[in-house]
Amino acid sequence: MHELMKIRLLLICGLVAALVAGCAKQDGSSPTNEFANGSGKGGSMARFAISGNYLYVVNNTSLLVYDISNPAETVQKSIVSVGWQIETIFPYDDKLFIGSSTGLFIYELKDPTKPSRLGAVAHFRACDPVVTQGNTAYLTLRGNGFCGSPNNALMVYDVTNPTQPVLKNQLPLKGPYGLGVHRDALYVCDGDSGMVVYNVSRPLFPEAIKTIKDGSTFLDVIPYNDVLIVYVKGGVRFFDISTPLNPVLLSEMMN
Amino acid sequence: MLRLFTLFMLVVTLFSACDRFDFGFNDRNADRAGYREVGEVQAWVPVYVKNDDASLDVSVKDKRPTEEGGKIFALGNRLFQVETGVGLHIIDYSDKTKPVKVGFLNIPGCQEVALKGNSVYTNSFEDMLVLDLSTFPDVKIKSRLPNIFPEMKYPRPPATGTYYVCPDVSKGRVSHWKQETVLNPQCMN
Repeated sequence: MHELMKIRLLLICGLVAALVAGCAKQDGSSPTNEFANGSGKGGSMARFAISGNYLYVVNNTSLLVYDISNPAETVQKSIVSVGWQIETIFPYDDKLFIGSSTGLFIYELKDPTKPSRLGAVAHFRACDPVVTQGNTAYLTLRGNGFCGSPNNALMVYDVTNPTQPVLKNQLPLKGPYGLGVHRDALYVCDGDSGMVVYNVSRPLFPEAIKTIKDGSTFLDVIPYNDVLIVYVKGGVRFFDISTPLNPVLLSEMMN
Repeated sequence: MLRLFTLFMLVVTLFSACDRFDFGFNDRNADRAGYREVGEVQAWVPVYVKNDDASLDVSVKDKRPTEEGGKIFALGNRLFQVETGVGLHIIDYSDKTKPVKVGFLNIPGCQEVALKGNSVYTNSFEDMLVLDLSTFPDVKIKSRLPNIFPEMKYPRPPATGTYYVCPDVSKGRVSHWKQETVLNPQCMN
């Protein structure tokens, strides 16, 4: 765990250094600019993923790769055919986790301009955002409405060998949407039924700790710098997650 | 399969509503043998924007209430949230206990958002847009990449098993849907 954090820290430092170096070359960049350098973080239901100098975009069928190292130009590098009914993309380390309504696809980015498929798993027809931490991928399946079968679940995959993800666990949910993982906590938005907080100190065996329920429809989360940004129907809530298993409501932005 | 079928039906509906047939939807539906008298029910109603690419103006507008909040992306102390089909809310949460909206970007057909540095990656219907915030609040379209999201060309009503008002292309392009009480809506998905 510590080893991993160190590597990530190093990576972040490297990224910052690279960015600063990049900026130095551009005379135009103003120090008073309000928008931070670097890349931020999206929710689990996104069709955009930014990893290093590359933007990865999924449409219904394909993965599109853009070089965005030069902010003035968005240069298309490749198009990879993935499948169909592709819905979400989540970048983690040097991999991309792509969710479709029929399965999960894992791509590696050894050559960031040409993602290559490592593995895939099929599941029952459903909408399925996915997030990853360490060697575990968490995926929610919502079978209601557009998305096919009436099954709703949290699926836990061991992706130690990404060419062969192994389903390790399946926990029932009511009608889940997005999810996010931060240290020992996994947050799953279960629509009208609230946000379920799982203890994932044993990553393959999430343990439901509590459900935060306040009448709103929970749709997606971004754990970002000890703040959990929660997208509920009609707005956004901010939770303090300095104690990950105990999110504390800080504020909301509903209109 | 159901999704494909619905999409197909929607396309058919859109095409059959073409201007040159020169009759309104309601009249035509009233004449149709299959006209349904469902009474006053909750239905999705299309919200139109003028189908004119030249009118795309992403300049920063005053903050506005969140109605149909969509996807989110955080960068530094800024959070962007999609207002489905309409644009992007810009929220400053430097004070996490008191987030404030600092502006709104008007982007018809918007559903996606990501940020890097001063660039915003988003979409207007099927086109991907790259916006430049480096001279915020003066926002420019840096590039527009056509037809990256073909499936977003015709936004569909956001739920299945519900009535909706059949779109009328002569009124413009459907940017998003609103739920309202409607008398005899003729489409269902």
